[in-house]
Amino acid sequence: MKLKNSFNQILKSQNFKYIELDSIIESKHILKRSGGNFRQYLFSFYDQNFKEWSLRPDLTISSVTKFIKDKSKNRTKWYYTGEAYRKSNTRSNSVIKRQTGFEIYASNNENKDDEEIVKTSIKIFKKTNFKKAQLNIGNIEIFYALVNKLDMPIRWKERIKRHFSREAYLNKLLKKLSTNSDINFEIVKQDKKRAEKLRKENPKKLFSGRSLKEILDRFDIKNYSDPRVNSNKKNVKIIRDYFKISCSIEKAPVILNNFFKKNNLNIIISPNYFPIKKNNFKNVKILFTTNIGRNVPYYSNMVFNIQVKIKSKIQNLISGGRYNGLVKNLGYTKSVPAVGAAIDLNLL
Amino acid sequence: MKKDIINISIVNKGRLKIESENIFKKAKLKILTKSDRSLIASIKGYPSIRIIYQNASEIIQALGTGTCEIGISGKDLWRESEASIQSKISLIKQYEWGKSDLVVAVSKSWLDCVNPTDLEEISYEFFNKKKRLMRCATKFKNLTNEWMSSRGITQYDLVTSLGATENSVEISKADFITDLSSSGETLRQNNLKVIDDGIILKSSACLFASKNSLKNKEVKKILKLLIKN
Repeated sequence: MKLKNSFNQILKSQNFKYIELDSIIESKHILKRSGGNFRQYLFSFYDQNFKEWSLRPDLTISSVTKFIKDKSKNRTKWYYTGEAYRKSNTRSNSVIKRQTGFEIYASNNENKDDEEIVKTSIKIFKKTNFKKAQLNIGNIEIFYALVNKLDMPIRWKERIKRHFSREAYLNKLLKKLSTNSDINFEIVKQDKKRAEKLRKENPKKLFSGRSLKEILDRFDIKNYSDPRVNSNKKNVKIIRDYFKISCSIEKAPVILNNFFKKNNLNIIISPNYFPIKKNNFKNVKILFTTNIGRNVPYYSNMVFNIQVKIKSKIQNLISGGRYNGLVKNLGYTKSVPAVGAAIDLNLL
Repeated sequence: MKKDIINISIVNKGRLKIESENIFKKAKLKILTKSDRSLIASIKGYPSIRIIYQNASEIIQALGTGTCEIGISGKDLWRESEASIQSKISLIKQYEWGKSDLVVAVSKSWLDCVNPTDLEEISYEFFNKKKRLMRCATKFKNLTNEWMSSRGITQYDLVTSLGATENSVEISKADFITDLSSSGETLRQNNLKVIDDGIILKSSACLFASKNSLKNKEVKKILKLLIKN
């Protein structure tokens, strides 16, 4: 309680306004963001109008829906504290997650706001009883830029970018890409014959929710204009090597630029790119790492976490990042940049 | 308190009932029923055993909640049950009968959809162009979710189907289905095709026991007789 109050004081002193969030949220907002698969983690129920609601599975999504309801247009800084409810696959995990979150919406200067969120997180860490921490900073935008520069079919680039946050599946995908193991050439040959027959039919005709035109367009892209005739082993190796990069934040621009140069990729990272350029913090080790933020599907740019050791186990005390697509994704009329972080109060 | 009666649940109708009763016959355990319609029976020479005829899904529930000690039901229903039920049941023997595969099937006309990676890409076509989630009709929500998740497919919604799932696509209730298929004929008749790597589970009838009851000597003895056949 004492710690929570001191966190709140830090946030207030930095002009973050306290808000209350709704405890329940319309399930469709959550499923839109995380897909139907996420339903298994929800505590959901129906109201008298058969509308499905869920106990909030995380606080960010409740905060975004509040921002949308308020129709705010200006830069907004707020914080909140409370519980999120999520079913777990493991018996030992608690279904109640206590968090304090703080966010900045509608940034005028995204880099500056990223810096504010990260530096506020360090200040909060300093108020805890932990002596040491490691701050890991990454940026998903760099990964997207890397994938865009690789020589491979566009739909594969999109697919790889979409699955950044699903590590295990992305690894399977990379395996398929490097071996072409998902292509059954015999079926392709048969389907090409069937496609020729279908071309004579009305392109607007619907088959299970999709028009014939949509089916044939995708079929043609896949089998004629975008076929994977060459092995993508080289591209897969570049992606895998990228995920191994981890270095001090000061060296990150040089190491990344060397990596891109070595792989003939026209990407240049400026020394001012990261929210923290130099480590001036005592007892906080700051690393740039390519392999973080991979469990939250809505992060779009900068990601970070502050890790501490609890009973010889590394835990994420504070996690955060930028989610520029989430507000629009949840139904707002336009894109609103947003960045935020959450403190895991269960660890304190 | 020691439980005196050992409850054995078997399916109450159809081929599964006949095959289950055959297992008892081969083990020389004679089932005694009062009438053809009676849903409770006993075994000749074993006064502490009670046979309960039940719906296949209810057998799994009964094993998980401890209301029966031994049961014969489908592997699909066991794997579909909630983790809290599943973890309390041991699979003792998988039989060669009652076989069927739980498969992912899409319209035959979706020429561009041959594997899960295609399905994942098409789910985004629904999300971006049609502004809705792709719908999957199924009776097996848990197994379907598990499979989708392992194949990176997240943009979908499940539509509950209680039967005749194969026509869900034709009547626009869903965009694709997951369902049990033995020969694939019903799928073909309804213009559906199974995608590559689209077998979620290979199922058949199984002999199960509740984990708690495995300490009971009588239960062990009965299982020994049933396993042989």
